[in-house]
Amino acid sequence: SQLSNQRAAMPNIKLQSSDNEIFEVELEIAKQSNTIKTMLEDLSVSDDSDDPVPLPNVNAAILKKVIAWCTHHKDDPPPVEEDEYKERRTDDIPTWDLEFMKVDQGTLFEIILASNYLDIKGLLDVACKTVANMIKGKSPEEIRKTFNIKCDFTAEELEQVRKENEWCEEK
Amino acid sequence: AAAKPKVSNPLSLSLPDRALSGILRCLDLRSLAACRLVCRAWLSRIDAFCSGGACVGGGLLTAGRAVRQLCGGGSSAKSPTAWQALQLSRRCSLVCSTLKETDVQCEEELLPSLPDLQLLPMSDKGGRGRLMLRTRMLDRGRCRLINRLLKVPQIPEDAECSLKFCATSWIGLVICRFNDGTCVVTLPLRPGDGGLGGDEVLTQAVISPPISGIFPVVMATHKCAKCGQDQLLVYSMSLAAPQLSLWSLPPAADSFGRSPQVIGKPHSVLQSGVVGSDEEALRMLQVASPVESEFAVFAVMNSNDEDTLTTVSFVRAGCRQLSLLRSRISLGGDECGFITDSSDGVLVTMVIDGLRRRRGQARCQLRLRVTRHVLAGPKCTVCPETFLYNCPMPSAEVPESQPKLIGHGRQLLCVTFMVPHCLALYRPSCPQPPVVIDLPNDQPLHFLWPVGNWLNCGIDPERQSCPLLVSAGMERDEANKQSHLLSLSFSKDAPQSAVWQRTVQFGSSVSE
Repeated sequence: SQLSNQRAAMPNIKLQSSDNEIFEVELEIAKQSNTIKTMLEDLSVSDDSDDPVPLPNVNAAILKKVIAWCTHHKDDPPPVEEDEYKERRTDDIPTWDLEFMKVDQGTLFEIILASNYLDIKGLLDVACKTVANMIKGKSPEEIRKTFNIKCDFTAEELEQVRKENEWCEEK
Repeated sequence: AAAKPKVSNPLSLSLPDRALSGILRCLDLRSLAACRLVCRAWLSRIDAFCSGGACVGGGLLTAGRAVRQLCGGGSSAKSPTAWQALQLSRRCSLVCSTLKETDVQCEEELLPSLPDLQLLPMSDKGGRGRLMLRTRMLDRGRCRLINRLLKVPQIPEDAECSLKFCATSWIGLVICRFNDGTCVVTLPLRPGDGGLGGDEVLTQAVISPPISGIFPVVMATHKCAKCGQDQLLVYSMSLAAPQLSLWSLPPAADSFGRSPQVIGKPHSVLQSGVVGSDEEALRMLQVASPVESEFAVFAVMNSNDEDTLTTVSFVRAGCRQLSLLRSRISLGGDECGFITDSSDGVLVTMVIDGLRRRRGQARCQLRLRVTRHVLAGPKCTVCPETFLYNCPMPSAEVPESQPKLIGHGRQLLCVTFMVPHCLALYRPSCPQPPVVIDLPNDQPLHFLWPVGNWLNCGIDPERQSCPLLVSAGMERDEANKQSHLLSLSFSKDAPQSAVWQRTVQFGSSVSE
């Protein structure tokens, strides 16, 4: 693959996608994924091992995207744990990440699933914020249109949910 | 080749909880509300997210539990949904994060909606007077409903009643008007002596004949160090000059005892030369601690329409005796000011000395004048300081109404409330400028009330941090009435040393 040609001084590791494509990546870049990091520790895989790490939940197209993101963010400081109690802002996505997330909805959700599986907090956060930005400020009907969802509420159910919602609406 | 995406719906069942929580936590309440209306699957996932609490952390669970406890207390109370609990936690979190540089705390509770006050004159089978009282009060940090039947033989069934709470004591004052006149009834509200717990109690005293032209009126109480009786100070405005009267109240009668005692006239009266105030302009509270003295000192404040000035006088209350300590210090400012007691012998007042609005600009400028009155024996040192407070506000929302100043008990705190969403908190121990809380438009605190107006801030002496403000309201329809209470409070008293330091630093001290 393209990345396998980019040999550097850093030790490399091979990652195998669900569709059996092999990607060679710098170890430090791959270790942004807590899942891979744990696998390497648990399996006692040595740095110079030639056996690829199998990632059965990520296909090649998405894995390529994930590696690209991790490569760009390899020098980032480790993500800080945020206060889970409060609402998070979504207007702080870096420009590079904004461009990176300009993909079709299917790919976006695949990235979410992959970053969740690979446990890459930074990527998961950016992907979630991107989805949140697609929802924010929209009416229910606009959200349905955005995600191609059919409303399956009865009129009574809709009225009931509206009533529950009223509590947070401004007068 | 890239595999075809399996998921294209952000809240679909196949999206793991952690990812779902990552998305939902980025959404404001309004967007979450919209998402709940998208389809059944989204509704169920969002509500599961809210009730699970795992994604939002302990805060939601804590808030939810507190809310459930509170709402579970009354028979008519409805438990809030997890959805409502989430909203509470978000709002609290918003205010808390705004206030993180201060020691102000925020609590928010969901309440079944109740009238602020119901007072119903009635009579028993023998035609003897009764008063049914229903109100909300803050008791040990909880808001609770008080439902009491008071025996007041002197009150006929057709009386018109209104009730006032003293901002710093456990005593309530019912003013009853009927064909033959008016009378004032005092109520003990302490738990243990029939106050909060009793079903049917006798009132403490009936003060009759009426205090002439009773409205407007403010009151304060203290326990006389000499005789041990509660003394009630009533500052009332009539067509003539306002007067301050002191009534020494007998002990509360028990339910098997005698009828409430009628007090024919006040034990001491002071006339004031000030005219033309409305109730909002009258304030009174205790300044110096009576613990080491047989006297209690009260500050009496008045803003009047005549000279658009706010004045403060100091009055000394001894055993059944009133005397003037310092008369009418002008504070300046035409806005009804603010008065609070702080550490012993120090009174801080705040008045609005000017408000400049410029059309088309996103700020209005407010000049606040803070005055410290330091009482030492018969002397009073007045230390004025003035500062500007720039109130950011969208130009479209520059308020037409005057900002309000709200004072609060011993916490040495001033609050400015600007419609619609802006608060300024000031306390001498914090560096200037005052802490300004800009509340985003999508998270409004609907109705802000100074505590004394609605809940009695002094009702719970065990409470470490008295609430500063409450926000209540949001009653949407008859069938599903609910309101919520938000209280802001300081976690501890301002250290006295800080108060003094600031007096030196900022006050251009003027000895009078």
